[in-house]
Amino acid sequence: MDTPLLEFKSLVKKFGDKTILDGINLSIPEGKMTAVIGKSGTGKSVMLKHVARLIEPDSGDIYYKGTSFGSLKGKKKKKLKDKFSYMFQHNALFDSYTLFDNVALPLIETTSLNPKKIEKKVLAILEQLELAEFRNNFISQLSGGMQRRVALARALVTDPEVVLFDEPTTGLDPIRRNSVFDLISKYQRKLGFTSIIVSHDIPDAFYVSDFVAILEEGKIIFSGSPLELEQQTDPLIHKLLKSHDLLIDQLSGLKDPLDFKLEIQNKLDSNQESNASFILIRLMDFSEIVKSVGEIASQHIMKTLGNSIKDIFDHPSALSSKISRSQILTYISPSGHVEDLDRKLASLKERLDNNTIFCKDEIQYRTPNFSIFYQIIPVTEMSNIGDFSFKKEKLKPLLEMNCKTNP
Amino acid sequence: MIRNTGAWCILILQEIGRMTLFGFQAYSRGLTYGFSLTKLIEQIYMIGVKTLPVILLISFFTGMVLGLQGYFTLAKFGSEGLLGSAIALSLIREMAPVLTAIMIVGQAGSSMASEIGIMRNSEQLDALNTMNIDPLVFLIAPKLIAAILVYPLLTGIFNVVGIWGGYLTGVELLGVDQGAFWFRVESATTANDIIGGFTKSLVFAFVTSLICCFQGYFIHRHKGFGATGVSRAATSSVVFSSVSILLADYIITSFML
Repeated sequence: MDTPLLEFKSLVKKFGDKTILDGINLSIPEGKMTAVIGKSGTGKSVMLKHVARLIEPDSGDIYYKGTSFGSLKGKKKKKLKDKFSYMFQHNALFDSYTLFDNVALPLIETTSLNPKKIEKKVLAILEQLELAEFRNNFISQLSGGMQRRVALARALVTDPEVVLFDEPTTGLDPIRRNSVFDLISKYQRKLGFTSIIVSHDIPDAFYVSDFVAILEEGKIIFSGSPLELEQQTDPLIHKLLKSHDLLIDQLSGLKDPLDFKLEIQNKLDSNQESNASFILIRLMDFSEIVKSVGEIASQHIMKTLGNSIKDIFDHPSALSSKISRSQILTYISPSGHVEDLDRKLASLKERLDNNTIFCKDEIQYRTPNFSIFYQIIPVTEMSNIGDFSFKKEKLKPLLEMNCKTNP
Repeated sequence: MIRNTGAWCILILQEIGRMTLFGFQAYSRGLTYGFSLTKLIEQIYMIGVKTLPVILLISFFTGMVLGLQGYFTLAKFGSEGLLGSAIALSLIREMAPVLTAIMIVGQAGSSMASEIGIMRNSEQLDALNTMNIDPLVFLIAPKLIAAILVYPLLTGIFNVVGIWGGYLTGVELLGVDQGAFWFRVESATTANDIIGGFTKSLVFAFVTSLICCFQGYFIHRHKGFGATGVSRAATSSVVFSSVSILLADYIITSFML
C-alpha cells in the first residue's frame, strides 16, 4: 500500500453508553480516493467528523503524516485544518446567503485574496458545476441536487489537500449521482487531493474508489483495494456488495445464496437429510432474453419465476435461492413431500403455461421464446454444494412457449 | 431534597461558569482576531434599528403613564411641581434601562437564540469550523459587541421620549407649569443618575446578549434538536434574560444608593 496520509489508531468514541467507534484502525493512502462504506447508522459520519476535528475521540488518535492530531494546538492545529475540506451530508449551506456568497465564504474569511480574484475563482468552479447562472439565487430557491453541487463547490474552492465527503450523493437521482461521482473523480485526478467518501451507495462508491474500507458495528472489517474486496467471502461483506441483487431475490421470496448454502450445509452435516433432493430450474438463453427485453424486464422474469417456485414448493423445509442470474435451486427435504415432486412440477408448468407471468403488460410485445428446463438431483449426487457444482446435469424441458412479439 | 437542591445549585453554577467562559472567549477572540465591520453594522441594524419602533412606542406610553400617575399622587401633597423630577429620575435611574433591555430581549434576543440554534441544528456552525472560520469570531462576537453599543443608545432614546411623554401628560394635558416641569427635570437629575442608568444598560447588554447567544449556541446540549429545541432555546433565552435583568438591576441599585 502507498504511504498512508492518515492513520486511525485504536479510535474509540462513545455517546452515552453506546459505543459508536470501537477501536478503529485504518490507514488512508495519499492522493487516492478512499470509500468508507457500511450500513446506515454504523458510525461512518462520526468517523469522518473525527478527521475534521468536529468530534474529539474518547481514546486513540488520528495521525496525519505521522503527526498526532491530538498533540496539535493553536496555529499548528489551524494550519493543519486548512488542508482539509468537508462536504456535509445535509449540505450545511447558509440559507440566508446567496449561492455565490456560500461558495466564496471560505475564501473571503480565510484567505487574503482580493475580491476580483475570489470572484474569478468562484465563478470558475460554478461554471464547471453548471451553477453560474444561479449565482444570485438564495439557497432555498435551489433544488436539492443543486444544493448538493453548491456544497461540493464550497468544499473544492479552497483547493484542499484532503476532501471529506459525507454521503455526497444522498438524495440525488441516478444521473446526478453519477455526475457527482464523476466530478469528484475528475477533480481528484486533476488536483491530486486525497478524498475520503463515506457512502452507502455501495456499488457506485465502490467503482470510483481506489481503496475501500468497510465499517460494521464500530469496527473496520475490511480495508483494501476494490479487487481484494470482490474476492471476499465474508457473508456480511457479500451482503453489502450484492445488496441490489439481494433485494430482487428477497422480493421474489428467495434466500440469499450464502445463507442458503450455510443452511443446506448444516442440514447435510447433521446426516438427517439423506433422502432430500434438489430441483434446479433454469431459464435458457438468459443473455438473449436480456438483449431482447432489457435488464429490468429480465430481472422481472426471474422475480416472477422465483415467486412461482416459492408458491408451488410452499413448505417450511423447502428452501430456494437464485444461484446464478438464470438458475434457481430449490432444496426439498424428505419431510417436504418429495413424492409430490411430479405433481408440483406439473403445477408449476401449468402456472407458467397460463402465459400470464411473462407475457403481460408492456413486456408481452417484446418477449421472445422461453425455454425453462429443470433437473431433479438427489442429495447423494450433489458433489459439492458449497460451489453449487453438479455431478450430473440432465435437464428436462419443463416449459417452452412462444410469446407474441412486437410486429 | 437537600441533595437535589445541591445538585441543582451545582448545575446552575456550572452553567454560569460555562457561559462566562463562552463570553470571555467570544470577546477576546473577537477583539484579537478582528471581526467583520459589515457583520457588526448588520447586527446593530438587527438589534438596534429593528427594536427602535418598539422602544419609541413603549417609552412614550411609559412616560405618559408616569405623568398621569405621578401628577395625581403628587397632587395629594400639593407637590405637582415635582412631577418633572419624579418622571426624569424614575426613567433615567430605573425604567429606561430595564424596559429597554426587556424590549430588546423580546425583539432581538429571542431571534438571536433561534438563529444560532437553527445554524447549530443544520450543521452550519460545524461547517464554519471545518472551513477554519471561528464561529465565535464570525457569528457571536459581532452580536455581543453590537449589543454593547446599542443598549445605551436605545436607553438614551427611551429617556428622552419618556420624559417628553410625561411632559405631554403633565404639562399639556393636566396643566403643570412648563417652566417648573423642565426646571425640576434639570435640577433633580445629576450626572451620577445618568451614569448609573447607562451602567445598568451596559451590564444588561453584556448579560442578556450572552445568555441569548449561549442558549442558541449550545442548543444541542440542553434544549434538544429540531423545531422544539429552537423554540425552547428562544423561550428560555427570554425568560433567563428577563430574570437576570431584574436581578442585576437590584444588585447594581443596591451598590449605587
